[in-house]
Amino acid sequence: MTFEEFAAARLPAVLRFAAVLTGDRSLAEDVVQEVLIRANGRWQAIADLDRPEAYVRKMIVNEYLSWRRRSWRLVLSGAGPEVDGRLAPDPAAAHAERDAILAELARLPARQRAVLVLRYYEGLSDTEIAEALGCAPGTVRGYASRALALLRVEMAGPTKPAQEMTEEKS
Amino acid sequence: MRRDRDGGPMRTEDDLRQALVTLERHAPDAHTVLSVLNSAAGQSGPGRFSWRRPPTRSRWRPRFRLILLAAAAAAAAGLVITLVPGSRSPQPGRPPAEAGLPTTAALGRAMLTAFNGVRDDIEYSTQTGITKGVTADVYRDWSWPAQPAPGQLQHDRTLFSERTPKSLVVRLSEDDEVTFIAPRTGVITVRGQITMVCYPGTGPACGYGNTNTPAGTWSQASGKVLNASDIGAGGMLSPASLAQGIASGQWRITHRARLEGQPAIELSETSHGRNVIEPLPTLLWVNARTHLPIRMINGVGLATVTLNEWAYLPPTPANLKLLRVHIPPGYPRYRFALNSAPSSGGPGPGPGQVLGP
Repeated sequence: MTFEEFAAARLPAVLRFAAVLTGDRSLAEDVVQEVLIRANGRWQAIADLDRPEAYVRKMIVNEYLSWRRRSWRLVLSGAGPEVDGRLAPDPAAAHAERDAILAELARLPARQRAVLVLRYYEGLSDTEIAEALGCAPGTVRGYASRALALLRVEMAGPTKPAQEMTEEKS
Repeated sequence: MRRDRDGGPMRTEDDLRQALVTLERHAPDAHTVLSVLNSAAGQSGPGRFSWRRPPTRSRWRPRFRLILLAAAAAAAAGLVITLVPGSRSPQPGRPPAEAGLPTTAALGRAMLTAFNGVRDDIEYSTQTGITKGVTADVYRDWSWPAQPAPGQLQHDRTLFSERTPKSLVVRLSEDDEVTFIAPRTGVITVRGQITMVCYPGTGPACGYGNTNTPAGTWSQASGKVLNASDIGAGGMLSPASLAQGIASGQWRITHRARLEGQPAIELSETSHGRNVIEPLPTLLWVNARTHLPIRMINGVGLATVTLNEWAYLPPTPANLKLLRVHIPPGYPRYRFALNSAPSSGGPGPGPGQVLGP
């Protein structure tokens, strides 16, 4: 597969991933452009890999993480748009909640955000995430646990922090 | 419902997954990305990249870096593709043309002449994304004048409707009206004013970056309009660009046809276009009498198809009203705060507030 063929076939999906990872259209664009320029320069080696796209996505994650370290960029601000629930109480409630999740997600440290995106958007296992980020699976679980706690997301399964929750009385 | 120790509702992992998926709407345009790569590669690089505009969302949308975004409205009428009766797919190696068909060079020239004739009309264009036979989204654009001269005030209105993930119904999402001074060729950043209405139903807000207009409100602001490829009549999907492509041999005339009662010339795109590495099968119909484009189908025979259609309206008072957004009664105005937005792109509105209608 040539670089051009890869771009033609997979670029939209890669861009969607970058958009979710960064939460910002312009940043996603910048990150992907940087990565593709580098990838094109050594495409022959990347194309010989079993999963070139996975490698490119890994490059995107790394670029995003280093970008956040070295450069201050526009990100989703604060709590996001002010949605007045009085305007459209029914659909707006769900939208506002989703908006709130995204705003809180935008405030997470980059590595925590990356872990959540890789786990819940990309569907990667903790081992795969660890490989992508260059850390131990236990570290990934630590990032995820802290991020989910900040977002007040209840994990399905035995690892949920049950001591922090109470059942709603109905 | 489970609650945390502060009494707030606990979210589920599915809530998080669904929220993440909504960020896909911020995915950049692939063509824009590859355009930058082309610039980086330079003329002497290992090869220029190319990109056939993605089958959906390929129409330009005003991109307001740090400032606004847009809006839209429209009845989500189902759009039916009516293929030309008897139309044929392009066949490689087929003998060229029926007798009496014009050459592509002649047709291209005739089209450019025709566009000059309607330059002061309103160009009405639609773009419909269809996946597996189901309409995914629809852009309806009114642009006046159809062929603006540099320095001329241009008015654009776009209605955007899209299908929600869980519904087969295309719903009105945004209505935006943009006015700007048409730039000279090659200039991609202009100052403009946008009025936007964001309808509830398909998302929490309309917009980009941190300048979203919340659903159920409208807003108005001035700022930079940055568009990498398609401002006004200079866009790659504009009829003028199509005509230039035809004149330069990027299309092949296949035969005559009739399209919605109009005599038409059918063309198929060839792979001759510069930067095209994997052209999607694309058909174009041009009115054989007026030489104006009627319809283009990108991705013929594929699961994802984009349908473009054009019409030209005289600038009557009634038609000019089509350029104005409609603000639904009771919709409050959302005002952007005047503080600077944090970005390298310059000052712009930060998060704002909803005011009374």
